Amino acid sequence: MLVATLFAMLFSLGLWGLLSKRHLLKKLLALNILNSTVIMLFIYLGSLSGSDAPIMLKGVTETVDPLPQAFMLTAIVVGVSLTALGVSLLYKIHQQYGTLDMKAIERESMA
Amino acid sequence: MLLIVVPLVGSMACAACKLSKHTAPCKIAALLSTLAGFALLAVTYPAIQAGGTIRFTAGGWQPGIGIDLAMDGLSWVGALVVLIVCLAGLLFTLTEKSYPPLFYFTYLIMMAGMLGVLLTRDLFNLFVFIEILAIAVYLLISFFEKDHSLVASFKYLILGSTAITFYLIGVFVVYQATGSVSMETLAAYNAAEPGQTPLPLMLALCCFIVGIGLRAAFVPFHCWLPEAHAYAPHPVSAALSGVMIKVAVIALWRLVDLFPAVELIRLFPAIGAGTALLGAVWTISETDLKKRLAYSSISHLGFIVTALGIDSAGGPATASAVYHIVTHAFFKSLLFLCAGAVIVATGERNIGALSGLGRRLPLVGALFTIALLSIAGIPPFGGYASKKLILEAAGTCWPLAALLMAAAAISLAAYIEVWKILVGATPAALTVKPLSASLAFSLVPLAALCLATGLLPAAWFGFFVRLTGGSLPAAGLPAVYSPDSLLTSAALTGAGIALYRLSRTSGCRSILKAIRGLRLGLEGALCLLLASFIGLTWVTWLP
Repeated sequence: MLVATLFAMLFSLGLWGLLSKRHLLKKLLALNILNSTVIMLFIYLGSLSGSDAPIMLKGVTETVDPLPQAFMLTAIVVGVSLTALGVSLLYKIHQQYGTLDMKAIERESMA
Repeated sequence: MLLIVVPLVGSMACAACKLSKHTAPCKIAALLSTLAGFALLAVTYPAIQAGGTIRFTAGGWQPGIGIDLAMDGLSWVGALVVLIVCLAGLLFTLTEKSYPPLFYFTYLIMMAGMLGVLLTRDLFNLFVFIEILAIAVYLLISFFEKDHSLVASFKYLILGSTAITFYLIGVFVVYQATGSVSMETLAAYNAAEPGQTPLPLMLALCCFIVGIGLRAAFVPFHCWLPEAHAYAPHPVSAALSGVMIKVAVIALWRLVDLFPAVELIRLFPAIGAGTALLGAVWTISETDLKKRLAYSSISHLGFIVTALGIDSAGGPATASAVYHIVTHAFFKSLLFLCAGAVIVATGERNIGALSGLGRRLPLVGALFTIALLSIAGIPPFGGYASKKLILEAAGTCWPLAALLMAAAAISLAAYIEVWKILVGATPAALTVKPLSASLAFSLVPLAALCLATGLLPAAWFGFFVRLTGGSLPAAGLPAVYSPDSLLTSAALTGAGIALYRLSRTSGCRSILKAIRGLRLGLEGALCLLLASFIGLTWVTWLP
């Protein structure tokens, strides 16, 4: 129950940051928080099914489910590339508009 | 499967080109990969002809444990359309010298991503391919960093990544419930207890609809589309509007098909009809040429979603949706490429400032007219046949048919205004550069396909029905060129012309300007995304 509440709080924090912050970099960071929350959720729920890390050494039998961890490695990589792309886009946006404030940019780009 | 690997190999060749000074090899590599894709499609056609499926599990694992890929009729048609439109876009880029090798590199990755989304039968693999496609698209939209394309790409990035986070939650719920992420396992699990899908799986379906629906851009999820498609480079706009959103609709359709007993599916015709009408209203309110075409993509997507939602099994309405996917891909990409040619020649994007282009650019003018006739639904072009079939499928439910017809009439008024840029006198302030004649290679085949899909519509319809494995309707193949459907089409055209006259009056112009000012920004789009997720889960929770 505590864990569920913590995850819900983190997820809402990510969503709140996306919605309420005007600075584009803060929006990107909030997106990162959102991604990390989902990744942690998967790994946590996957870890409930056993007790050892899924590395097949001698004498290791009770491994946790390795599939969520494999999925989340992919998701982490995707998240990192998206953040890298987002940050470089933000750099170019700053060069073009002179600001990273959402309202100012939207006023100019959707005029 | 080879179909995905070949464009990736081509893109590697393009990346290698960046190191050397010659740009010619990368263009040759791009063309060769696309043509090789066509060859592979021809090879696989006999196996999928009557609704069969070719399956393949990556890495030699057993199906259900490894990553499943399968090509059935729907994937085959989708792959064919992807290859044709991407080839047309490639031929368009070859007419100008200014596209660097990195552009071809990213373009081929986008093509590989789209083919992957069509072929995959594994939920997590769908996430991977969608992200491959998405990252390539974010790069391509902002490639030349011209007017507002950076912001458009960034908005799409934020919206897309938020939505795909919801999709991942859905995938995990399915994994917890069924023990595997293969689509077949999920279908078997749902079929085992028909009529009683457990609540977590229904919430997973809501997550899927939000996640993939954002890529497909129907109404609550459309906000990224106009700017992204309008400010992207011209061949990229053609590929995005022509095929990328359809590929997402096909992927969403596969996911929804895995849950046969869920009531949520009955929302789709309403969502589709609403999208069609709203898209039509927004189309006529825009003055930028490419934004007008982008909003009309949203409207046509509404038609496709309505037809897919009308009967959930592979019935005749699904085949009309596939028919519209095919015809819309051809005429929309032709429209975007012609609009791109116009913008390259004149440097002007505003419809009000353009006129008399038919005389100065005769080839582009003629092909633009063909594309406009097709999208407006005038016989004998493809758009008429597919729109007629969708209206007939919706015919049993008159509110749907009324909304779709209203959308068709309003869009027609918008297209008449676009056509007006070809007639009249050229204003003195407009400089028209001559365009290279090799544009014909990319534009003329698309125009020929627009015409070809309109002739013999019964044969095309039967073809799509066979490929999607459905059954023909009991009344036989529908008659598309019958007198009363031609009369309906004439009535719609008359209504469109009347609406066009109406829209030129000053009262209407100020209304349209007000509608233009009402666009949602990034935060509005995110709120819409969350609100629709909450709305969908609430509808699911009702008994």
